[in-house]
Amino acid sequence: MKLGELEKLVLNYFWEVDTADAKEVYAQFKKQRGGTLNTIQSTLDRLFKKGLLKREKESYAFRYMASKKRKQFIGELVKDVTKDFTHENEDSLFTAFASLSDEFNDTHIKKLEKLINDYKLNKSKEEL
Amino acid sequence: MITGIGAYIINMITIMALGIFLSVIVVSLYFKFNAKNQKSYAAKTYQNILWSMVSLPWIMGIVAAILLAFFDNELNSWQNIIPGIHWHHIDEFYYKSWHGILGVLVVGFVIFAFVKSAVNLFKNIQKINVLKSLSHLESDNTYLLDTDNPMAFVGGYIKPKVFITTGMKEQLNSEQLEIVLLHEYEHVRCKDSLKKLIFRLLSSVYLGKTSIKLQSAMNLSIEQCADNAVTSKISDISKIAETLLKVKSLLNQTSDKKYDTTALCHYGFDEIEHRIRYLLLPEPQKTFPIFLISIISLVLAFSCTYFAASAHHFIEYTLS
Repeated sequence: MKLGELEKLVLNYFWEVDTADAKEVYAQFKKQRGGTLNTIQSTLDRLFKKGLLKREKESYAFRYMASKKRKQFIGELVKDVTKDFTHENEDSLFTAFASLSDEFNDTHIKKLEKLINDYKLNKSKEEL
Repeated sequence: MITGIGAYIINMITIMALGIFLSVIVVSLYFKFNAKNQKSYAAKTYQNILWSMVSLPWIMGIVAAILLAFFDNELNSWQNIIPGIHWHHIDEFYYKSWHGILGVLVVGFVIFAFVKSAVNLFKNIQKINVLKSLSHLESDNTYLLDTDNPMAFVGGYIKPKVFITTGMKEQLNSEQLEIVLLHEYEHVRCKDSLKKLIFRLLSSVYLGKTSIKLQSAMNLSIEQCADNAVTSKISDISKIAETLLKVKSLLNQTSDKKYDTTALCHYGFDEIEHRIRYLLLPEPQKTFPIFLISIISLVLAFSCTYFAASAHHFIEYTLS
């Protein structure tokens, strides 16, 4: 999935307004970029097909809205990017890796803090 | 039936598969009993050992295939030197033979692994492009992502870029932020994402558990090297260790901890305790075991060739 320049602008617009139809979006971008209503309509359709916008029929036209809030969308994409290379059989093995994280509790933090403080202490003694 | 160069190639693939199979068993056993030794080596040295481990089966497979294919003729036969080392009718290949089944399995596996990786790579690059287009360019190589998740990572393979989230930036002071960015720039400089990808492809011949353990060991070495590189700019090592600990604590506060570390190089995931200890304690001095690896390679080259020829004879004899 790649976002074109106009798609990016339209998506950003929807992250600022609640909902809009094609005419409202066109009105917003007409002065900035020119273009036609058709261009805006096809851009909205592409964003809808990519799952980035939702739409509801209102009389003869669609009203569009962002399918996710900006921070939520980017946050999920960041997580998604890291999962593309997961092994099929990784679940059980991954639990072991994740459990290491789970074990990283206050005791663990204190142990590492002590290690760092001991290092600082030794360094300052050496300097004296 | 295929004859000539086509048969040569398919028979060589079969020999290669047998060579890889034996090497994988030997190297897996070596790794199983030596994985704990990672602490005895400097990160860069251990990285080289891991590269040797993942490339050895491929090299040994190719060596066995070359030895059996090109030196197995009447003029220059291994048969005269070591009885049993030869491959019957290397210029003939029958589809309906065990060679055929093995050949199809090997070629199928290689194509499957390649296509799967290529699809994942393509999707990953596209998502990184979307992230890039939705972020603010902070500097030449650094993109700021507007999300609360505290993250800093390198994305992309040929021209990798650093991504840092507002969630991470807001919770670190300027010195800590500099340490995180220096660490990530080192990943960019070394093209670590690409290295990880190649390492993953090479290690795909290992069975699940060993493959993942090898990758985890490589991840740790790569992170330790990047941490080490920061020490050349930030002389107070304790500050780097404190930053690692802080980032780890921030990450632990997020609900979803199940990140995969293979595709990306990111700050604060890989066995923080090992990394902090590696920073604070004197660097291990054990050198690259060149003698041992050379011996293993030589023995494996002979064993793989012999194993491929013996397996060939055994199966032919059993089926005849």
